[in-house]
Amino acid sequence: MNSTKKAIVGVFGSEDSLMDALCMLQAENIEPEEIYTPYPVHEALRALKRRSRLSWASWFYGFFGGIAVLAFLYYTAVIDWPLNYGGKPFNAFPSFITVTLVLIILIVTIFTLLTFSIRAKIYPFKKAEIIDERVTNDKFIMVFDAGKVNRDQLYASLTQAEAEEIYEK
Amino acid sequence: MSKEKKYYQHIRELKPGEFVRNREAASELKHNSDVISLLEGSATMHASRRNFLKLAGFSTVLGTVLNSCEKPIHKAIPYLIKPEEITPGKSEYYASSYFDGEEFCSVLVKSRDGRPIKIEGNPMSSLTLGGTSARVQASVLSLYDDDRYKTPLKSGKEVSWETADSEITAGFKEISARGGRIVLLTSSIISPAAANAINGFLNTFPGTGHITCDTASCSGMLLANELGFGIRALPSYYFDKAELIVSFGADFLGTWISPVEFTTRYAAARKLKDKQADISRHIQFETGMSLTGSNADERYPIKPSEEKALLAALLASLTGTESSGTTAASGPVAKLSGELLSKRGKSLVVCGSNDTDIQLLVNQINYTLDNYGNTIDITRPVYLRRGIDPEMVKLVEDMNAGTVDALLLVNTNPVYHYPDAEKFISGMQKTGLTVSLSVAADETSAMSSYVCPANHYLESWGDAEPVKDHFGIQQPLINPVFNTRQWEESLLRWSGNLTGYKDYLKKYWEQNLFPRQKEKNRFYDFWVNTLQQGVFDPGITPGGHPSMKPVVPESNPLTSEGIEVHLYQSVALGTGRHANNPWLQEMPDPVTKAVWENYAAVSPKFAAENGLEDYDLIEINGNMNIPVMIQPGQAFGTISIALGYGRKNSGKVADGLGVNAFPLMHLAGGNFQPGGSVVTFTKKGQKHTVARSQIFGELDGRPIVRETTLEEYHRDPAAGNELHQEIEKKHVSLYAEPKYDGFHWGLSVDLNSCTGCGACLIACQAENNIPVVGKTEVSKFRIMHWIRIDRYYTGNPEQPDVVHQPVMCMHCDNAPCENVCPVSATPHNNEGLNQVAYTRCIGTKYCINNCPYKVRKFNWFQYAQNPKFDYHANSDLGRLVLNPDVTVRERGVVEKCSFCAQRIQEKKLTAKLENRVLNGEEVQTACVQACPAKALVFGDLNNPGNTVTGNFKNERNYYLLEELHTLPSVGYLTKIRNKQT
Amino acid sequence: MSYATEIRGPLVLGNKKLSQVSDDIIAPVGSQPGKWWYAGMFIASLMLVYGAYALYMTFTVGIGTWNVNNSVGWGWEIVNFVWWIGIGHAGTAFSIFLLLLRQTWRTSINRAAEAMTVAAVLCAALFPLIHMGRPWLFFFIAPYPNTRGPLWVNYNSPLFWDFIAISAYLLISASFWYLGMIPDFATIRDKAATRIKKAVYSVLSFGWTGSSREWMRYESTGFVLGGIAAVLVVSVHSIVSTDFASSVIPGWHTTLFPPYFVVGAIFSGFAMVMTLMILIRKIYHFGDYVTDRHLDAIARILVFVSLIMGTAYLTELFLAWYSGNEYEGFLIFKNRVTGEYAFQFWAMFICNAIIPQLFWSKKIRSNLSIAFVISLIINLGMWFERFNIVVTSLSRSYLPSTWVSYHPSHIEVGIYIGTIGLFSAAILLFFRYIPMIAIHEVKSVLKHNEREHGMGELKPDDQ
Repeated sequence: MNSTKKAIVGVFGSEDSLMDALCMLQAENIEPEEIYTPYPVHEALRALKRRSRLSWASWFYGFFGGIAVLAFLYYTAVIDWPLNYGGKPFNAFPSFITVTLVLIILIVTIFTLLTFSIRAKIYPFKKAEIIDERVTNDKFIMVFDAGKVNRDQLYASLTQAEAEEIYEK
Repeated sequence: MSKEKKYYQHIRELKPGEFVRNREAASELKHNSDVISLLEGSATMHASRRNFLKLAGFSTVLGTVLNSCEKPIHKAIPYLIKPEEITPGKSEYYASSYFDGEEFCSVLVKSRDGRPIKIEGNPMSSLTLGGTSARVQASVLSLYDDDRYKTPLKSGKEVSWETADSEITAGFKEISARGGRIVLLTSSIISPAAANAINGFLNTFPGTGHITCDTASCSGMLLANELGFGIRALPSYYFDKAELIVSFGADFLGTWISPVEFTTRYAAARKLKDKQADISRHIQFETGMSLTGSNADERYPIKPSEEKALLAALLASLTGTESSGTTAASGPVAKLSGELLSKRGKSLVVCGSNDTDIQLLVNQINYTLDNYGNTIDITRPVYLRRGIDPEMVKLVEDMNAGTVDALLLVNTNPVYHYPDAEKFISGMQKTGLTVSLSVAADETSAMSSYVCPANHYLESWGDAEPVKDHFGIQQPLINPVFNTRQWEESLLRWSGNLTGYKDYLKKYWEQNLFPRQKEKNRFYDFWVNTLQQGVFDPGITPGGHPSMKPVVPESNPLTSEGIEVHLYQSVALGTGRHANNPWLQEMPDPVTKAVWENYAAVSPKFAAENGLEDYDLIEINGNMNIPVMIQPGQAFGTISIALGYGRKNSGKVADGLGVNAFPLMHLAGGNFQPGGSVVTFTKKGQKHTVARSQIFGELDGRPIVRETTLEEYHRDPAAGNELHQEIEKKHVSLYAEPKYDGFHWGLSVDLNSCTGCGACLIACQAENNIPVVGKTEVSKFRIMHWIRIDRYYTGNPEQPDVVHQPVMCMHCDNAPCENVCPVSATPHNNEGLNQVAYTRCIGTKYCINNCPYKVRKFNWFQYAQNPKFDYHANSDLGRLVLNPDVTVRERGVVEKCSFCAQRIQEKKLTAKLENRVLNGEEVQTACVQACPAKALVFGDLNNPGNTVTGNFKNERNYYLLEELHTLPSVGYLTKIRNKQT
Repeated sequence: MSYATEIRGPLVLGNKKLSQVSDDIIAPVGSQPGKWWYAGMFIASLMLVYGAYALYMTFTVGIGTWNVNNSVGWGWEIVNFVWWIGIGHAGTAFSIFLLLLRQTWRTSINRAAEAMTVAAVLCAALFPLIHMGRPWLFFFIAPYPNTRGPLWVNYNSPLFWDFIAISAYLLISASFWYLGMIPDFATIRDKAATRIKKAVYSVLSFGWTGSSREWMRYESTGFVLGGIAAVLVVSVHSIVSTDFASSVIPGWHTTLFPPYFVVGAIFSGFAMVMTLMILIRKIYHFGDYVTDRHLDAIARILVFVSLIMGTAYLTELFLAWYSGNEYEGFLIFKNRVTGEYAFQFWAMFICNAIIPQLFWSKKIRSNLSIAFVISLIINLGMWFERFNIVVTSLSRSYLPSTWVSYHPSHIEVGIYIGTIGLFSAAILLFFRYIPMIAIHEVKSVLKHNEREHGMGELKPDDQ
């Protein structure tokens, strides 16, 4: 989120208080823009209905990667430049398996990491947009778009949910 | 580099009858100097701007080239005017004869772009039948020996031929004028023309004597024959006609008289092909385990001193008179005499002793057995040994007495090999004028006042009559590499005859040999024809065999209790005249597999009793330090030491290797005896490791070598080879059997014929540019030979059976090495060859590990042009011997036997040009060509007509480690021992 | 998850607050280390110098400076290669298997284990390169389009499989390791005092903010990588074992090798992890994070794996006899069990199969100094195992004429020492510049302590 927009930040001291607040707010159908935590809080992710399709992507990488590798091996070993090694047939399939397996793993890793870095916007020399430096240490914060929510109601609910502090940015 | 210029101008092709055109040489020289001065980056060039630019431009190009490809740049300087008889890249073969003073062999010399690079046997010769020996094969390298004399020397200083000639002639004139004595000391001369030249010399300077001195003397035999037949010569032996061969210490397959000839004949009688049902039987009595002994069907270790008594006993029991004196081995004598009598006229008894009495006994025995005229023929005398020891002893006496004024030495080196060297040296100092005409540096020439270096035989004209009425011709392949002159010509000059030796030779042949034939009626045709064939057989004049004057010496059986020394010639080095040849130095001894030095062989029992272990240093007679080698089959209480080592002044390769054992010879009956001197020894407590190419020699019951006895074989030809049938039955494969629709190259090894002589090994080395790696590397098991001969012992270590098994790349159709190379550097081709692409190899060594036969060799270092490996490959001259058809491998790549792919290719191209199908048998790999025993057969397995195909179907055929299903293309025929049970 | 913690009790002791965790773990990072560190670094550099000299000789003169020969084509270099790869297995095995099994107790160990993996695999990867005769042509092994045909490579060659497997393994374990560190780098960044430190770690942290979107994708990436890398853990050493198993040489040609190698790898790897964790614990007083319980768990694994190793050795002997193959029988019984290389064999057997059995006793398990020694002994034993496999088999193969003994030259020893130096140096740097324990993972575990055990310190119970 770009910093020109006004944001309301609610800071919590523990995962539990964060979760309680989250449930309460959602009851009042107030959706936080984003939640920042020092470690993955699965309940929160579930509550926010965050789902990743990354594993599907990886599966396809693996599938097509495997086919590509086998095709390459077959082309180079049988079609392009067949050589007789110790009387083995040119298409020495059992030997191909090992290579294919390992290369599939390699391909999946590389592409998955790429996808992750693209989707989660995590890449070298990226300037972090830090809302509150303490999130990476011990604080759990909720961030709301001041434009979208009713400010007073939100303040009320946050105070009720025992937010350690509430401020705007 | 300046040196190199010289070589290039010298190595001009030389056809019989025409010398090099100087214009051409000059232009060549000029051409070189330009290029070379550039390559030099040249300090010699004066730095003009033009030169600078030239150099800059050239070095830029050179730099680019050097960087762009990893192979070092080799300068190839083309002919400006091409001599019409040379096609660059095409080899020519010229017939010639090899004789080094001991061994004779009729050869074909392969010449490439004007330089001889390979020696092959001459199949036209009725004597050697195309066989060669390791020494013959290696002789081509001595031509390019950097340590040869390069100019005439006067007391070590360089002089011109003119001065040398004038001064020496003056000297001779002066001496003969005052009735002084000139002595010409030579090794045995078998060249009729040379003998004629010598006579000319003797006549010019009256009072000149000619004395022959053999390093490997047979004077005992010569004298015995003189006493018996009135012929002072050696008889011809027909080992092929003998059904029972009994040898007393004669290493006739390795070093005795004419090993190549004997091996060809011996092997012929040991072959079991074409339904030949029987093979000859061979019994050996000897001290040390010799090559011949290792091939014997029965072998009895005896002390040298027992020989005489044994022969006396044998003769006695043959003639019926009761045996006198009994010895350790006299047990077999009774049995032996029985066998011999049953083989009257079909047996052969030979003896290597140099004792006249003993030889008289042997002659007597053969005579009693009617072997003369059947297996022995004194009417065809052999001239390979003519030296009479007493004459030599007398000469040394005279020299010391000061009655010899001038001494000419031809191809002989007494300072090194005369047992009482000090005495000879003092004699030499008393002799006013000493002239050495030796080819290479040696101890004697180093002490002579003049050295008039002779040519290498590949630079010389000559002829040879090794056996009466069998002539060989010798023609030069190349202009003298150095400023040398063949010794015959020197003699002619000094005796005032200025004709070149070639013309002299032609004249001699025209007068003496041309009349002896009818085919050619013009001498020119006869001459050219002889040059082409290399041999001339005028046909034997048949005559009855002379009867023998029975001279039986009183037999005084002396069996000493002391430790007896037995001096033998090693198969590689012989008497040491080729010591400076790195190929021979690194050729593993056929029996001990040791290289680069000699050692004291003792029997296991003897070692145990005296607390000796391998490589223990012992001191013999308090003046000779030598390492011990425990040798199965060595006679108890004896020590065998090889001659030919301990050279002092023979060049960078040989000097200081091993010890000189000649001083251990003793004089008996006027002759020098290599065996029987009683010695004492003390253990020094130090160790001196001898490098060996094979350390373990026991088979542990592994079916690697399969053998059987003759009886078994008669019962079932597949005897001893049952395993083969079994494995063939289980023969299944996951993949389809490999099929080859053109050629399928195969090699068959007959273990029964292979004597293990090692000729193949050196032939392979010469053919395939195999590097010499030196003692330390060999001791690290890094010897590079592509073909090795494994030697295994079976049975009682005091009296073992021995087998020799040549092992080269098996070119397996299911090759384990091919599967594991990650970079496809060693795939299989469509003719069944297992190839190595040196440029592709990255040297993982995985193929070496996965080869069950361990025939793959790795280039651990840069062996060529590396100061650490200062052998022939380290000088521009030495590298002239390299075969241009074969890559010189670089550091870090794997290499191995290629079945001489280049030779296969050559023959294919010939066939293609002649527009016909190649018959596989036309291809002969280097090892096959060299083998005197014809134990190796190469050919096309798809061609039913080829011998190799037949051999592969033979019941005796098996494959090495066939249970691994590697499907080798090399087959082995079982060894059959003619043992009596 | 909860059940795991219930039996085992708290995974982190000392009643930590989240902030404490960050502070404790970050404390050493970038701060002035003690004298021991410089001492260690000095020794490591000495080793590196020796190694560098040995490598120089190897490259300039050739591998002739080694004592391998035309029968024993592979010597120490391959022994060490396999040894390092084995050690390099622990990290991945640790984090990945335990990750997939949801074993939360791994959290305070896997970071160090993974760091170790990367260092070890780096050392290992050196050997295949330098053992070549012409290392400057190593790229021939890659199937790239070229002007020689194009001539491709031989897919039948286990060495090619090796090349693929090792490089993939290095790449994947490194990225997996780094991925795990990103949030921790962010933590360091946000707590950094100096500007430089902040700058450096903000680069390292790839702009991590800790938003739920990031966490979500981060977690699933972690699981995907973990899942496939788990296959790799098994495949890499199986493939290494095929270098031997797929050959025809007695002592190499055995189907037992793949599992045997993998287990062996995990064995040596875990031993090395133990060595390392004991050090970290001692030096940085991380007793609260690396609890006795952790080491105890490793010890239990070790004793179990050691039994498998013993069984494997006995199986090898049994098959050598049972197969009736005279070549193999000779090799195993005449050259390994007895004969020239008997010492190496028995050293292997005692170090790997006998001594670890001491871990049955709780006393020894809990005695860190003994455990430390044993963990070292195990790695020694594993070295001997590789020596047995590689060298003894080649020194006595089919033809007696080709039998030969092999002893390393000082150059080969030097290269080995060099890699040890490299490894130690890498670990020391890791100690100094990287959070040794996965902060965010520990934090997530901390919560469960609170949940199931309240805030109070708990008495550990080992049943």
